[in-house]
Amino acid sequence: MGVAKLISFPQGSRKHSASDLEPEEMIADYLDHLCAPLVPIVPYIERTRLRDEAWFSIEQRMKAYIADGFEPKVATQMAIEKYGRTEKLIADFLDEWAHYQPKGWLARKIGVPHAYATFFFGQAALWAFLLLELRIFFPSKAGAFAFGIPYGELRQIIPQPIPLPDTGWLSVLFLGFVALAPLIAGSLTGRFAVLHAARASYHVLVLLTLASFALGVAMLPAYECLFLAVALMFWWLPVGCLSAHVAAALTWRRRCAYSFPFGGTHDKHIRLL
Amino acid sequence: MSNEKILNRSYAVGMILAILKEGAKHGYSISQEVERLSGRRISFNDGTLYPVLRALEEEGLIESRWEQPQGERKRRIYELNEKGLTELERQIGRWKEFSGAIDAVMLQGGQSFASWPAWFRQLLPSSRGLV
Repeated sequence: MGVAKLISFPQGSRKHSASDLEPEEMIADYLDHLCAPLVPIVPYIERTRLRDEAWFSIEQRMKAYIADGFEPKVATQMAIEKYGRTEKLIADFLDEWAHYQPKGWLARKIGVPHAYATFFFGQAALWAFLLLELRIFFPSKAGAFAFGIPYGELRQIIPQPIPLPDTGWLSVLFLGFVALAPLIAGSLTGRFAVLHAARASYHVLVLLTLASFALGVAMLPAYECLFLAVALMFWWLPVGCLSAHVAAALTWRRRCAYSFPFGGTHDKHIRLL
Repeated sequence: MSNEKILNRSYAVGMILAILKEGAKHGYSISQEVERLSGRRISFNDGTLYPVLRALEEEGLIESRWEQPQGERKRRIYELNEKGLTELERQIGRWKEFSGAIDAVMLQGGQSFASWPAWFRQLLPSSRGLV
């Protein structure tokens, strides 16, 4: 069996390979990897409890393997392998833990990821709507931006009564905000609601899109709110969900990074012992 | 959430309470008992088991305490209480009702096949041993 170089120990440390670990240290190392990603989410007392219970379970399995005639190190390795991959255990634990957690009113009603998505995307939509209102009530004095196309041809592309884009600061601010908001709100949702962030963002954005369409129809003949609804549907929805998904995956990966002491997955860790 | 998870959640509580009815146990032996009694068809990993145990404790259905025999690692022992016993009886009642309803539907389905003409029943995959 190959011996992996252990990078979780400092260079020059006496114990620098996995085969040097004693059974107790192997279990401790495994449990460090198991509990570390829970640090920002699960309270200390719950983590230590999980750690103690898991230690006992692994030790019981190890004893059973030793009773079957295996060497202590091999028995420990088999017990850890039998116990499972840290990533899956953590995901299962968090899923169950979050399910049984006492939650705030909103989170109890709609779930934690939905509460975060509602908070971030709701705020973004509110600000976008506010900027839109300002743009309606304080129309730009700057001329329409024609992209160098003659007015007649431009009007064939953007028909009346749709307003032409202008270079006023409010318009630029509005367009910039509409472009960047789903990226920021999605990232924050993914960062805070690691589990099911994209799904929660999708649900919230669908509702916001429908609401803005309804509002847009109510605000006719001012078309701006309908444009916001279109932007929500074709830009915020895909980009918001994608950025929530990416942010959640990156957050999860960062939290689990400690679980890969050999630069690979936990499976590799076990195989190389 | 997957259907499997919803199903796991709905039966996990009943199974854990039923295992604890036999006496106080630690988490490891609860999962071992579930595996043994189910003929290794059902297994809890600890990631799933401990949050459920914690929730049952919070709800006051079970009680727990740390134990540390001489020279051994400490372990948490879980024990069913009166409230838990009542909940177990309720869960068993619900399960009987549910499985009875499924049985009734499925057996009814089987009987309706029996009334079909023999030549048609021959065409069914189940009658040819394909299912």
